[in-house]
Amino acid sequence: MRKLRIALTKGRLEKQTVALFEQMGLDCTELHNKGRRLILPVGDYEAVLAKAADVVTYVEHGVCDIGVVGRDTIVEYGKSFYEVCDLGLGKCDFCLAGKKGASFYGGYNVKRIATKYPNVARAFFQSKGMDVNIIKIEGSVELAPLLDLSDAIVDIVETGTTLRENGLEVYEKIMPISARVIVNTASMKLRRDEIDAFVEKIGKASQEAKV
Amino acid sequence: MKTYAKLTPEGTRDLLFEESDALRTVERQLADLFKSRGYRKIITPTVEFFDVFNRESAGTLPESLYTMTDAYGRLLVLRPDSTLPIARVAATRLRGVQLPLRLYYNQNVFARRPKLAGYSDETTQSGIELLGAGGLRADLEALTLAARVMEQCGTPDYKLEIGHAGYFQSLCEALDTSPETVSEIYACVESKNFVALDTVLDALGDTPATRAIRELPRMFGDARVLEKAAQALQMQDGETHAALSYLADVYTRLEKAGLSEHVTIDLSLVHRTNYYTGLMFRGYISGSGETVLSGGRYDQLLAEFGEDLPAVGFGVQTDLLARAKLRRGEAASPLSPTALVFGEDGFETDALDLQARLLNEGVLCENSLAQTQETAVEYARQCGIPTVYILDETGVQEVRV
Repeated sequence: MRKLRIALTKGRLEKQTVALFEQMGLDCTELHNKGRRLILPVGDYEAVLAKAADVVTYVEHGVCDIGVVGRDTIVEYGKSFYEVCDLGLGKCDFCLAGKKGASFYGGYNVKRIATKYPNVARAFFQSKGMDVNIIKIEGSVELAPLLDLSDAIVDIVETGTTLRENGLEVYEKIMPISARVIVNTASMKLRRDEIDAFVEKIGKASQEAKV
Repeated sequence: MKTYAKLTPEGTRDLLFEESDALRTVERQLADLFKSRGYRKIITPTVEFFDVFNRESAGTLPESLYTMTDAYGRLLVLRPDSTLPIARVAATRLRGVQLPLRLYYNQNVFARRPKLAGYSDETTQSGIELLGAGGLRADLEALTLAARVMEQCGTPDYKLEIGHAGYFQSLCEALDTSPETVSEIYACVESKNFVALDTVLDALGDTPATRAIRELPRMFGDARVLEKAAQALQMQDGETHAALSYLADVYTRLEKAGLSEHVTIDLSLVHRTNYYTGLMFRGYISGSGETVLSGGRYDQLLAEFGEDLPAVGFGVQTDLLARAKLRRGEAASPLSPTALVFGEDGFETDALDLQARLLNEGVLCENSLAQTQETAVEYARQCGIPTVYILDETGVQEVRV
């Protein structure tokens, strides 16, 4: 049987996850000297490096058994898999934000919302029974209200520095976000013991990291 | 005008040679399994009235249906499922037949799935429906048949997971909340989104039922899960306990049938198609991230079509099984002809006669369409066909290539 395959989100989350792996006693030398390789052995596992949105795709299709990915990606892409553990890494919030002092809910015009997360934005305003126009933006969403493209933005906010420096403020917090461990449904049934062991170890490591 | 004449629509595909052979092999194996146990084949129309599927219990999402209208403007759909059409037939044309009614099907179903995600909108399903029989005996027949399916067409390490619709349903009833909230909870549990589930439950306060629902994510594994659930359940509700003890009963019998290493229990098993009323089960094989088999008991569905009959059944994703087989390199290699017949001018039909005789003797034989002997022999050489039979006025001449 093949090794358990774990998809890691590239970038900031990657470093934090590797640190957790080391705390679990896994040999991460290959991950540190990865060069341009995308599939790397880590202890008894096989790690795959991918963009966040691809991590959920790989796990949903079962080509990776386990994934470490931000809750923002999970909510936005809404796929089907087990979400088994909150690692408490990369904590931030989904927020509704806009120009400081502007009254977002005032007036009868249909509001325009710029976001990288159209599904999150749609669900949020649907739950409020509010009709909005959503514009998908790929880069710095903060620009949209500054350039008067939109009335507000829905985005992840960590410290709020970027918002403040650009004269924006948080109107409302939508939901808290952090990194999660996800597991493919079929893998969970077929390789339960191995997966449980991994999840328990990484859960413990993340608890220790918090202390 | 731009045309799409050279493309197939998104979510559909052509199946060629190995792929279609592998699919047919799986379908034949399943048909043999079902037929030998007294199940008879049923074929329902590809296009049905929307009303067949437009029911609370079907759980079909409107955005997932392929719809069109007939000449009178009535709404039609490409069938997203075979169980509902079969329930319709059973409650109408098969009314009053000797029960139990054992039916099997092998047909395509259609659903619009998320785009650009690697899914097919048109998939092939085989399955059985055992109608007019309630209770343990029928459930065990369906379950062990499902196990045979997985054994023959799946991988040796397959898992068959069982759950009970009554467990989750009675917990939801005990919540005593709005139908909207319940369906939200359903959706969360089905997509295993347990963090969102906690958020919904937080709003409902702390009751034995919310506590039990919160525990659902951890409620899967072997028979110990059932004891754990029964102990943890601080409710006197008979139905939840009845569901648990029924599952324990089923599990013991499957254990006796030597299936214990394959059978697991999952109390969080819920299904968007919420016509299930009792036992539910799903099958998994290694090499496929999706569920390959899914079924359960639906005792109230036929009543919706006017005939109150209990029923149990399951469907198998034959395309997933075939693909997994191909990937494992298990698919049988296609048979290639071992002889070629060629008739000179005026002997074309004699060549076809000889082909028929050879085929009768079990020799896989192809008719040559070449114009001359030489090109026929050359063709045989290229295709690796060892023998060529040449027919002319002198009779039959055998050429070894």
